[in-house]
Amino acid sequence: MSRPPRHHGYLSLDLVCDGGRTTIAHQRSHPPLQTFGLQEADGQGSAYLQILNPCGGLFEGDSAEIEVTLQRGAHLYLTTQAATKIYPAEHDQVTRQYIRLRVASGATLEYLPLPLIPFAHAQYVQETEIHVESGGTCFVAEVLAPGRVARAERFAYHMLRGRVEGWVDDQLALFEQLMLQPERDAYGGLGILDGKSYVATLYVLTSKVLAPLVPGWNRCLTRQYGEHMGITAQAYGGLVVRLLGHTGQEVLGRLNAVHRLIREEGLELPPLQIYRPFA
Amino acid sequence: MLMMLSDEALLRLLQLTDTAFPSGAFAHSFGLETYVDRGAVNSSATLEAFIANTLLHAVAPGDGVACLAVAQAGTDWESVVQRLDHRLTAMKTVTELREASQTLGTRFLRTATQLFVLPRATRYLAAIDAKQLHGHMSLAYGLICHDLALPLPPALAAWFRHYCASLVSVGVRLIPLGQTEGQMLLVRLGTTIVTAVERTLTQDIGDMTSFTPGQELAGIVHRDVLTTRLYIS
Repeated sequence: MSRPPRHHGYLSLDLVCDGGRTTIAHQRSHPPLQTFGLQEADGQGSAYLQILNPCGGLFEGDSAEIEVTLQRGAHLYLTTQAATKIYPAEHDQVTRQYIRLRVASGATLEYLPLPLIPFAHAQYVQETEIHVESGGTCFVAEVLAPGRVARAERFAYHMLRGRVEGWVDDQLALFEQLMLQPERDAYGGLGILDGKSYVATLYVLTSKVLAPLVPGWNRCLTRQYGEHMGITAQAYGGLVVRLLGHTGQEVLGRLNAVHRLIREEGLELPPLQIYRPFA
Repeated sequence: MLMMLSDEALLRLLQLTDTAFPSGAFAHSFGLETYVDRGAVNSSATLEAFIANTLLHAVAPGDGVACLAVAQAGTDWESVVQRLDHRLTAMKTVTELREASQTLGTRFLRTATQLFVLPRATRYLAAIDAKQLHGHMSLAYGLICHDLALPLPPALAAWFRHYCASLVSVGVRLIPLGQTEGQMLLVRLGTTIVTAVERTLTQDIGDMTSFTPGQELAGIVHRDVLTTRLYIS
């Protein structure tokens, strides 16, 4: 018998640029999702905000929705207060999270949540939909841990399905879908995780042409960090960054470095003045 | 799972998936050259792992499912092709691998349409030439399978075998391996090919998936970092 969602967390944020400062115009939330710690991100009017889940994670059967809209000129750096833990599905119920991001022309959203940690026997579906108007910019990061490594739990979850769809105006600029079933397949091998266990991706949707900078960036990153991270230009503009690593610290450190490189050298954004783990 | 073929269908599949068919596939390593250059693929066993992993986690669940969708499309096939052509272009995030799919698909169509009467494939090629669509190998192959009424399980098996044979050939040259060792590897990959076909046939069309970040990073390194390259991708 199917059960109703255990919790239906909801968070909706609408941010505007008011006199050069980004502020929250409207916010609606339903437990367990809340926001926390609104502050300036760069000393030049952009905002920093954390998403907080006092439950510490998403339980079996939970369904969470996050909707963020940035109006023209707004600039938000959004993260999570902690890693998103996906608890075990002891009754075969799937945990779901839907994320919808809308970025107007002239606005910038940087959504870099901390890692996703699927516990043993977890079943998780996450769908992310990004809509960016021409002249807007959106960064979205995803860091996937193999499980609770401190408990020697690696790839012990039952199922993880992820989908990311990115649109610039009416053009599908990005489409990714993965389905991981560690009980059926091993993912550590050559061509997949190459012996690593953490994988991270940074999506950058922008109309600014960054492709000519990519080969130089890749040579520079390879010299500094080795070959388990790379940037690739997309057919319809924008970038995708992939990273593989042995630990969360390693992957987060490199993700922060490449994020800084793209935002400051590529998009000429001012440096962030906020605390970021492993930055 | 693999159904019986008519003699005519068998001959056509053998021709279309022959490594000598001028699609340009022999010039691509799909990231394998980076692995060999870095010493991560240096034996028959490591070559087998790379080929099997990329077949099961990118080619079959992504390209294979797209191929099946267009091969089975009904009267709305043009809208199916259009949607999947854009989706594949957005899904193939690595420049080299995306361009490989487009180049191989377009060249495959150009040659095949000169050999056979292929109504849908010809329309797809015209849309690519008019720069309305990008052209992808999986869609080209699927439309040709439809136009030639080729049964899909063996058609997928033949295509996946062609992928394996091309990469075995790359490995034999680069590692290097003996020709017999390469053929033994192809025999071993037979089980993986059958699994890949079974998974493709049972996967939902809306569920096109891919998960080979290592191969993608190898494609990025191949294009931007490697100083000597024998293969295009």
